[in-house]
Amino acid sequence: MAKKIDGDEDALSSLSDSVLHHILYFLDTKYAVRTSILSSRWRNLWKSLPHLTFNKTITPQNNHFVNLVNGVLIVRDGSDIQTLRLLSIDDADSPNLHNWILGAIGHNVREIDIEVGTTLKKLIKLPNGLFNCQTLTTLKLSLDKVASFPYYILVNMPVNLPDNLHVHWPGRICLPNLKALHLFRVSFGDFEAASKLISSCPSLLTLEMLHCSFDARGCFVINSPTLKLLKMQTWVGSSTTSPSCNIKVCAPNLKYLLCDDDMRKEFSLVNELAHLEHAKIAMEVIKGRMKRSPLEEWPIDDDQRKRIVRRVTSILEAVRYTEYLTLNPMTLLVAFESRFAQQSLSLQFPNLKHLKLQTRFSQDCAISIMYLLKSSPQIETLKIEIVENTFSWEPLILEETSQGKARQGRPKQGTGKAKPRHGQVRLVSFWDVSFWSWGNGLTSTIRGGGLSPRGGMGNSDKQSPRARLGHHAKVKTHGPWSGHHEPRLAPNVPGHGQAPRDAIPVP
Amino acid sequence: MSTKKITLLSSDNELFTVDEEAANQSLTIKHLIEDTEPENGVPLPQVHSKILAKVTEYLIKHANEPDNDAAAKEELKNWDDKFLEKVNHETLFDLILAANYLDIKGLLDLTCQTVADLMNGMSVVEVRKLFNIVNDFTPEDEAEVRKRRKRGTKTIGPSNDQANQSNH
Repeated sequence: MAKKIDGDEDALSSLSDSVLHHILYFLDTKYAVRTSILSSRWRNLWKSLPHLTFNKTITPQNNHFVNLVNGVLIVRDGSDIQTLRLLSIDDADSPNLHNWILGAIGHNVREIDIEVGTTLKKLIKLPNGLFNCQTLTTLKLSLDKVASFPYYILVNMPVNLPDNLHVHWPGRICLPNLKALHLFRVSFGDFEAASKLISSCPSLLTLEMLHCSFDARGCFVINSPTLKLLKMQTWVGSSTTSPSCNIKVCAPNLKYLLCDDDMRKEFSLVNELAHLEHAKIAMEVIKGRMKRSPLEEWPIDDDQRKRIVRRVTSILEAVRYTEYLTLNPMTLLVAFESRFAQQSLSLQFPNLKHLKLQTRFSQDCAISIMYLLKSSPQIETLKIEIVENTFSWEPLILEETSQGKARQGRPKQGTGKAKPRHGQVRLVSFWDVSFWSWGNGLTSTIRGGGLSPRGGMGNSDKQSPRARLGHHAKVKTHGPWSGHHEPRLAPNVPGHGQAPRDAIPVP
Repeated sequence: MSTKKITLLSSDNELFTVDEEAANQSLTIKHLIEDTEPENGVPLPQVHSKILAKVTEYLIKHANEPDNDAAAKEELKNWDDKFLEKVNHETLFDLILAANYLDIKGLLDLTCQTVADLMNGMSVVEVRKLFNIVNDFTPEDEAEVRKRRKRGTKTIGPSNDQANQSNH
């Protein structure tokens, strides 16, 4: 290393094969192959590239793309393929897809990433061998991120009999070494097939199912004792295809959970997740392709409303051992919706250290936060992210407590036109803790090391809720403010007598 | 909280001290410490002080990688760009060799990506010129390589020639 390199010396070519492969990894395989005519040193390097990336947007002409992929796979030497990525492929490639995937499997491929471009309208058929590959550790199937909604991949498992969809997924599905499965906008024919896929991967650690959908009713069971990371995101258009489906998660060893789902579905966590470290719960009520406010969308009758509250609460209950917890505005609202929230109000979060809340900032969130803090003895940081109020929206709990009944949603408000309706927000600062309360309805007082809400929640005084925050606890808020509700500090700020670092907006 | 300090010894006997957390990003150093418990610094006879200074600069900066903080990630990325901005080819390849030998994944990725970015969009002739690569093919060999590649992957030959022309 210390040797002097002459100005004329070819330091690049003197690097080892593995380092040169690493450099070529950052180039599309089309350009990596071109390096073979640089010099004799480079002549055969491309034949043993461990990572192959074929992006059709770089080689758009069909015959060129087919020749490129065929050429690289056929002329290849005997070395293993680590990664095969086929990006933005379309209809014209489907006849060759089988051969390409099987070719990679013949080279003991570890990772396959297939991303279908926007033009694919037909079903994509994947070889049976892919689902019985012994060496595969990572499988990604996705629709191009920019693809429009109507197109989706149908994973057609019984490829031996491509025209016969009556054949169920065979017991042949066996991916013994698959550790990560990423599915983006993949549609399953039925729930059984999907459930079987998950249970046929005995080493699975990571499962991402983003915007996936099911064409039939039923129950999707995620049964995996090895699973550590689970990301579930509802397909935005799912309510048209599967209005009612059950998703049961039976993964007792989860460490990371992201759940962004439709509240009306029966998403349930069978086990208490005792090993959970991170949880992000972002439930929404979804209609069609738009995420809507609950008041517009919720069924009016109390039974259904109760069911939704219970559903969300039971998810929070299952994740209560987490250290990190993130909740979106809707989850926060629904879980602590006053009339039916008895269950969630008794929830305890014994290990919770870092709480992040996204909220549209209204009174109910103050109450919810109070309860969350009260039931989290280990809390260290609270981060509040104030999100834009993009939908018609009513602070439900406030209306109920101050007027005795819930009002239906008021007309959509544009940002900037909102008038303060519920009095002024008062900011209370205590050591490192800043908190706020509404002038009308809820007041916070500080006693000793805690916060205790008075009023606003009926009999809350009887439960003497105290949110204990240690000296080291930090509360941080940020969000999009605009002119009419600039952050304003209350005139009397107890505590150190200095303004807190972060300010709370007055709506 | 005090962290353990690790001393690294370059090929020209210069000493560099870094926190253990920073040093452990290099799997080679980590294993050397675990296996040999060196008292007078970890000897790295393959790395010159000039390069080791750069490497430790990288290790210190990347010791606490941000997990979820987008702003901090952005800042780190900008730092990475600056880190290699004024580096000449000689140093860049020495950094690659050092990152490879010391097994520092982040630094190897960063440096290899930089080389790949330099090559990207260039014709074969330009790449040869940039990196002093001598075309040691005999005309027959070169014709053979081009012909073979044409047979295997028809797209490469013609479109490569087009690229050559358009890039000139």
